[in-house]
Amino acid sequence: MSLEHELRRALSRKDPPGGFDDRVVSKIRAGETARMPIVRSRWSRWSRASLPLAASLMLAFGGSYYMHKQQERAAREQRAQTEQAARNVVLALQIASEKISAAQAKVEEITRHDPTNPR
Amino acid sequence: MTPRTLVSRCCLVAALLIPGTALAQGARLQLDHLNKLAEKATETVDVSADASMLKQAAGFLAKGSDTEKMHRLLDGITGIYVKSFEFDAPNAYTESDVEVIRKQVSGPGWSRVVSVREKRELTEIYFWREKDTSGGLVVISAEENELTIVNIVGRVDLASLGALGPMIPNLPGALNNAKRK
Repeated sequence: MSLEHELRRALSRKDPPGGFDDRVVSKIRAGETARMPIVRSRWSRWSRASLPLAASLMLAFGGSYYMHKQQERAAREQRAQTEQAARNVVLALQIASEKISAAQAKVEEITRHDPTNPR
Repeated sequence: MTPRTLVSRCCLVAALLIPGTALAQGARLQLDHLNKLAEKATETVDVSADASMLKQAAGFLAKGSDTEKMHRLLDGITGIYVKSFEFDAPNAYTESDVEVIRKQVSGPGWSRVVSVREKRELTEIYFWREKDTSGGLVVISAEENELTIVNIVGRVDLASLGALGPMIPNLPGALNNAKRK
């Protein structure tokens, strides 16, 4: 029973101190609000600095990779051109050699059958 | 500068340049009139290798096997121009197609060293001489179903070129893919 008595006494209604209403109303009219401390974490500061840095690095790496690929492509094209040129020259020499050999053979044949030839 | 001075200066520059270009043409023949034959031909080879292309090719061939003789041969050559057409049927090209070329090699500087005419076949080799050195050659090979013109500009050794056959490296696709159609 004493516990119940103690609880009733502790939870009994109490009036606020005098002038409490007025003070609250005046503070609302003055526009005061509760101030919460702004806490900036270290992470947010780092992230702000690192984002442009990462973007710049990505751009630099991307650019150099692109340049490298372009150079590779140009070198490949140059090699293909050289190979083609070599093939053409070899083909031209083959034909020239073939035709000259054929002409020489014909001349030799004619000379062999020529009755005026002392051989 | 007055317009009259300008005109006379232009004339002077032209007078200085024209003989130069005429000489530069030298052993190089005009073969463009044969291009029309490609339409009728079953197989066409059209090679135009100028000095820069020959230089490139020589560099590439240097990586191959014993090509020293070829290098020596290519050393004096400044251009190789080949047009070769193979036809299904005879009379695909006309006499005048060949005559246009023969006319070009009938001028001063040219001398015919080989001429073999058999039935409907004609084989001729012409040399172009600059002073006392060879400055180029032309091979005309006109057969019933085939017409081939080889024009080499520069210092050419006919014997070396004729003996070149077995020495020519077999580059992959040299005969099949290059420009044969």
